[in-house]
Amino acid sequence: MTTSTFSERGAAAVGSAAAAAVGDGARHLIEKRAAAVDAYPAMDAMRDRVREIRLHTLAHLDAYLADFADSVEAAGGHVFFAADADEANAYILGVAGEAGAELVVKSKSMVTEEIELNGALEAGGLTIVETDLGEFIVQLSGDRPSHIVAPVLHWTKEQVGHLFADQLGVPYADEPTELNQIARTHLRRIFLRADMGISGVNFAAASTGTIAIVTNEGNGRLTTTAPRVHVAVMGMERVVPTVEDLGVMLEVLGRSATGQSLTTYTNLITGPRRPDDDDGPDEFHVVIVDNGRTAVLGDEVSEVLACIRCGACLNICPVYRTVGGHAYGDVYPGPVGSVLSPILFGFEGREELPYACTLCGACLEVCPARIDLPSLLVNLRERVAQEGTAFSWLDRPLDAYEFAATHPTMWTASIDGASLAGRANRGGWFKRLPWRGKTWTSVRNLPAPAVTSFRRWWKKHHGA
Amino acid sequence: MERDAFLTRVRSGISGATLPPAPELDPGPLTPELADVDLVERFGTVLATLDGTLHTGDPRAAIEEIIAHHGPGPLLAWDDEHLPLPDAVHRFLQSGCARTDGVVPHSAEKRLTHQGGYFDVLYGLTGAEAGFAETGSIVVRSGPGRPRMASLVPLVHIALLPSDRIFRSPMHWLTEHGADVAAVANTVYITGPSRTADIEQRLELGVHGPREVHVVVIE
Repeated sequence: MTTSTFSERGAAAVGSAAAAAVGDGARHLIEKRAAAVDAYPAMDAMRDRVREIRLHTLAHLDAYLADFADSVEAAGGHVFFAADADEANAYILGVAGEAGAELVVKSKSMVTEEIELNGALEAGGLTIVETDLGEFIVQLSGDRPSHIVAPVLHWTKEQVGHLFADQLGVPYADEPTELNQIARTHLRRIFLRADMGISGVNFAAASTGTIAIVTNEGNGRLTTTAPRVHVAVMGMERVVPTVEDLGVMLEVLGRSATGQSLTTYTNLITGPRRPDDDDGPDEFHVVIVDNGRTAVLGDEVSEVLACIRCGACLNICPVYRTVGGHAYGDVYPGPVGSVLSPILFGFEGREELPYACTLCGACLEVCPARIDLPSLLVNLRERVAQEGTAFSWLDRPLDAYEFAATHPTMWTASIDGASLAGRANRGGWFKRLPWRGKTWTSVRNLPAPAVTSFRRWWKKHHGA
Repeated sequence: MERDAFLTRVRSGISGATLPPAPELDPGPLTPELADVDLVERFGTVLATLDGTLHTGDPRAAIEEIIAHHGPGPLLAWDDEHLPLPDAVHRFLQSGCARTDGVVPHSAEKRLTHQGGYFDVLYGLTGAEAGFAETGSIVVRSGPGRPRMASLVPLVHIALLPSDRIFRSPMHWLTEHGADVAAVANTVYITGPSRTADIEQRLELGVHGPREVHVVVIE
């Protein structure tokens, strides 16, 4: 979390090439999702099922986590329960130390970003390489991902070309096919030498200890197959009762995320390599992370833990499409992030997030778990408002409004558009107002009033 | 954190939760209601939209056609006994392909040398446990003689799928064969070739896994 506010970051992002690229990418994903949903008549029934399974699991989460841990251990794996980021990172460092690991490959995972695993492992002397193409670009450049499923929506192919030329010592290329080939060749050498692979977990089945990791590129499979040690890190809410329930999640995940009926590789892993298996890791660890989730579970917005991280609510959100992912300031952007982040990481500095929303309801329309994000955001708004301090920037314009509204002459003058309209830009919006209006326009534009006020219009047309 | 302490804390969280009512799970069927279609035809149509290829007809001719197109190259294949076409490997060897050993040693050092030997194989030849007509996917399960890497590291993956193993959708297979998933260390649904659209949303094939996926139906 940075020290700037959402509105500062958002205002800076609006109109930027990066935010525009995120907007375009999101619109493309909206179309793909819509086509996939149209082609799948069972979608609504499956969404009901997903919601039922997710809420049922959350209501009995302790029992399902206990079952899951037993099942993983029965399959020969190790389970570690991490109360917070530090515990998770320390455990993973310990596993790496015992395995004599130096080079670690990772496949894309939100929770490892949340716990800032890369920094912790690097501080412990390990080399970490992100292997999802988008995350690889993010890591090479020191940038941050802007979208849950498409981290470099904000990059152009020319920028990637220059990055690869600078960082990998290859000739400049800007055709995606060539860039892809450069990454494949480079990362193959890394996979070959890696001692340990770290993945996230899309879903975990309690009854069998099976984890699902979906990727389109295949890096999720290489990460969990080539190295000697596989560590899977999961938010504790990822669990569902059975493999069949896990299958129900898969029915909606790809369709909601990218418009695919299934992601290219749905990798279902139960324990380490078996005794006579030809390949696969010798060791398998699952790290179950709380890191604030118990607080979310006990909160009025606990329903948000039903999220399956498809990103559909981001794409459909008009605010997200306008400001991009970085403006939200945390790992989880968009509507789901605006609900999750304040509870997971604390309200301080995040008071504006519940207001980064027009309450249009589009996110509820597309959510595969039918999470009522608009209501949850309203709930958080109430709490922010009751705290009282967060919106001090709004006090002065509201004072001005109150003063004008209770002084009739002043009111008439202030709403007479002719006196103000000259200040509006061609689009009919004020970007900067003087005096008390300044505070309002420092964070948003104000539509210019009609040139003729309603009072004046009424007087002219109806007499008085 | 100790497991018990962790789970006790979770339980205390649930007791304070205001979750929407969560009924016991409906034991009803989990299979989606989908229109009846010709399974093989549907499978082929969907796979084609994913840039994969379904081969019906003479499987040996299909294999020869693939080899003729790419020329001979290193092969990583499952053991004969796990392939539904007994002379499939032989066809590759006859065409000048050299077979690489799929058994990866446990020791770090040997592992490195060994995997280095097949990270640039051209062909991967595997069986397939099932196919999903609705999604164009195949199910591939690991085990002795069935290396995972054979469907992952090559540029061209050829999967031999018995025609009676094509199911309507993933849930149609899973509700019948759910127990098969955890019976092995790795079960993977493969839905077309490896792909990415990370750079400017432009589709690229073969980013980490195979660039081509050929599903050969065995009658």
